[in-house]
Amino acid sequence: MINDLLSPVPPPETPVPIPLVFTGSGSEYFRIWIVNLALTFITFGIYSAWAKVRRLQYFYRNTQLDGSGFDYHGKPIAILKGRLIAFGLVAAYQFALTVSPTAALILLALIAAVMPWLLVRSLAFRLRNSSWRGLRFRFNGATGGGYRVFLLWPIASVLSVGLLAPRAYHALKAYQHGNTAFGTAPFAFSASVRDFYRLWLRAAGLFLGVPIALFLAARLLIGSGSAIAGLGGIVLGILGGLAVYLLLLMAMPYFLTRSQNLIWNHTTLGAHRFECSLRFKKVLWIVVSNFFLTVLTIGLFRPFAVVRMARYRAESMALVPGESLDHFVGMQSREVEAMGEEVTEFFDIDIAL
Amino acid sequence: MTDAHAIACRYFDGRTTTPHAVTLRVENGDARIEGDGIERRLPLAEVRVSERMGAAPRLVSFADGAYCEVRDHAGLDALLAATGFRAPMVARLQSRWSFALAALAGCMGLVALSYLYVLPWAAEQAAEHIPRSAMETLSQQTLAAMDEHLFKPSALAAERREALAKRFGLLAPPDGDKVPHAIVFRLSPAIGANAFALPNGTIVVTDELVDLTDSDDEILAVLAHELGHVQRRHALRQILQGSVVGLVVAWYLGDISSLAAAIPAALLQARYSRELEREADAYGARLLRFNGLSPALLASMLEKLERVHHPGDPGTAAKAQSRSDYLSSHPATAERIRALRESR
Repeated sequence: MINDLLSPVPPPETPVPIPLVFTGSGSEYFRIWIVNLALTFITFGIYSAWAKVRRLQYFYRNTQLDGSGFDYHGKPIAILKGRLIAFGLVAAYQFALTVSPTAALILLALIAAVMPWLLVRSLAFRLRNSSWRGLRFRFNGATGGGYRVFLLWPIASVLSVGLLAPRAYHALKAYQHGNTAFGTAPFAFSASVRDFYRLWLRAAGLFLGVPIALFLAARLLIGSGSAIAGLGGIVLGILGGLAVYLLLLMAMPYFLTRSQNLIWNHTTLGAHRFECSLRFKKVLWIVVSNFFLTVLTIGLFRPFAVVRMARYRAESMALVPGESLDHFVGMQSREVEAMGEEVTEFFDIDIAL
Repeated sequence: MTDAHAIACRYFDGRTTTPHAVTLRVENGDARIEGDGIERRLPLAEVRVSERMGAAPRLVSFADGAYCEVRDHAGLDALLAATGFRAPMVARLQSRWSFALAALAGCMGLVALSYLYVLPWAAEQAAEHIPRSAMETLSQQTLAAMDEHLFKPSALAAERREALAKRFGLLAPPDGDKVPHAIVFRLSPAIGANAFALPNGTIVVTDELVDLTDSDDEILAVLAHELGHVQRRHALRQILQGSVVGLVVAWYLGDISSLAAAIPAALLQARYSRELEREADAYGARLLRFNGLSPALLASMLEKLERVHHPGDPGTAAKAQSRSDYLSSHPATAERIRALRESR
């Protein structure tokens, strides 16, 4: 009896996580990148939409799950349209600035009013044009929800001096991940607002707390009157200054690591769930070494840098299957029509963020 | 067609994620798929083959969304070759290092060409078309800001200021009409002996510069150089081409670091302003000669300026200047002085 309890009994049918595999290489992507760049130059930027399709196809197809690559089906014209709209908005704003500050303000309000709609459209565009094993992803978030997460929450976040920022980010991710489907299987998002606040607090503790503690200690020592303590205080103060710079450098990788892990570990697809196990040290190393190598090569290392990061991010992700991956089913085309997706073809827009 | 070109692959019907192990072959101009209960035959014209993208599987797809996922790259290449398939031009460009390196060289060449010729030319054209009112506003704002932070009212006697401005106004222009301008004097302990031109033709001269010399001709020489900046619309051109360079560099390096972007942008902009200084020197020299004055006046004034801004041994100062030619916005002063003395 006791032996039975102590002997490790594996739970029946522990699902084996299936990791994403990345098969791209820096030297391959370098060639795609440089040819794209040259063609973009000689077409005065117009080719950039085609370049984007090639770039995404390279990364999608070289990211594989369970032996099958993802695929990207976006049409360059839709991307070109999105870029023209974005360019038009910026140009209109610049023009309004020269007319009068009031005109610029009105235009800014107008841009803010249409931006959420554009973002929802381009989110839907991106997902509808992504596929795995021939089945498309889908985004069915309502436009109203888009206005909440792309306009109201950011405004609330600014008005609250950032106190509502974790809440706003949670709303955005819940909207994105909670309204996505693969074929007929829906994604679901289960992270709580509290998880997001915990992430923010830890980041704040690290990136604000450490330098503040160093500076406070420095002030105390300098104020103590003793010469040796004063010297120590100055050293601490300098360390605090250095810490601010180092921490600024580390903030982005830290946030990327923790938020990606949090978000994907709380995302499910039907009976399946995901595991994301990015490690901060590894991300930091990739970001910092990419930075120096890119600067030293006047930018030529950039495609290699992008591939390194993509590889690490893909290979830190795994799908934990709840059942076989062979039985996802696409929507019947009648259902798709009923959702009006065909009609929105005209509004296919990708405004690349 | 022989079976040599039959390749094993996985077939997906586009409606479910169920893989089917099939073989793909080409027979009498048709693509044929067989195996695992699948049996399809389609004319080649309705079949699309994805580009080769490294190790990623290639997709042979049909109009209804079904496709074959092919990992046997060599087999597929042989099959495609046998059907006379030709990859799209861009795909072929991307597949070869020679093309990639040519594209790299092409990009660098285009960037260099744009930087050296296209952008300065475009800035010159654009500067011609900027409305007078915009230049007026810009210049007034600039002068107001400098008055607030850097300048004090001139301590020179009003008669002296008027006499200098009047003498300069009497100089005949070497080509075309007179260049509209206004000369203002300011006391500036902050920037010392200096003079510069604003886009609307306002030339600012510091009291310190006037005090630097006893010869009014030398002051006229400096004003002639500044008038060159006005006549060729240098201030506007520098703003235009400088901001384009700044934007492009920020775009290229921006996602790395804004600090990393600032340094190369500053270096590239400095080269433009050196060009403009040379142009202004040339105009100044012509204006002086045309009015019976020697361009050497500007040269000796540059020497005096050099001495107050870089005190110390004149020899080492000159050397330091020429070494920093690529860093400074004014071309090595020694070189400019030589050019002016030699321009007869």
